[in-house]
Amino acid sequence: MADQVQMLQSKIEDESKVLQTLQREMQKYVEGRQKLIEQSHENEMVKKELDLLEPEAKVYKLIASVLVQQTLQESKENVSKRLDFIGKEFKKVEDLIKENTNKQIAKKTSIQKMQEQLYQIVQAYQQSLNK
Amino acid sequence: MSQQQEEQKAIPLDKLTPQQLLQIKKQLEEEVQQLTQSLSQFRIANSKYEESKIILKKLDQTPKNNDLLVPITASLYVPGRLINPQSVMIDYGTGYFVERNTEQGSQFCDRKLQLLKESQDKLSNIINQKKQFMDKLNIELQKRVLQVQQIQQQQQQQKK
Repeated sequence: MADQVQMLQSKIEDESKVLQTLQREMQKYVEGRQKLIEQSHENEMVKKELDLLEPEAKVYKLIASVLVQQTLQESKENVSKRLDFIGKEFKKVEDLIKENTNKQIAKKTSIQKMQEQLYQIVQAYQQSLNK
Repeated sequence: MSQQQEEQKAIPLDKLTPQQLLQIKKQLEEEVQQLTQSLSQFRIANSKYEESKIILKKLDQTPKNNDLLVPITASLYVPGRLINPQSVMIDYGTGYFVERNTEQGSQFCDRKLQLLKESQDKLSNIINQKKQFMDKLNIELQKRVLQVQQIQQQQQQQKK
């Protein structure tokens, strides 16, 4: 019985460590997702403002401490591309979050099962002692 | 919390233990605090845009070739002249700047102020909803305390 108990305990420990890693991963994903939402929002606002401009408006882009003049067309395309990119990254992160959630649920279930097994073994042993 | 979730929790509110009620109350208090902080940040942004509008008006009234001091660093200023008081550079975000005149700059500020107002109103609504829910929780907690007191009184009377 003693080696059974030891084996189960070490398995539970290993699975718990994996669960912790998954949880840390999840936190990174959630932070990344939040940043993407902020970026998408900012780019949406810029797109709306650019749409209000007349074609001759002077648009400048900040490239490493230098304001470089761009055409309105170029700027609009650039912002659209950025929005598309952010959309794709967002979907990737959402898929990763979903996957991680499922993995966490599976780990928690397996840890719970092993804990129940452990409990039953210890119960059975105590009962056998009481007889 | 959406309204649906609030209603779902309101129904079994009597069935929750006092510890659970306290937990929810603590969580809500933290949320309300964070949201109120965000609300004050909104007010700061508001005042910045209002200030910009005032400065734009002043620029309009400033004559051309007016002498001024241009900051090169935080402590170094260089004398200069105002060539074009009508032209302003607006930071649109994500690294884009647009050259506009003071009237268009003022309209830009107005649009931003409108966006800020809408977000502020939404935030105020959410904060109020949470506060209302906290009030319900407090009423429920008071009920429990009264119940416990009544049971204790009954027990004391029985002992006599």
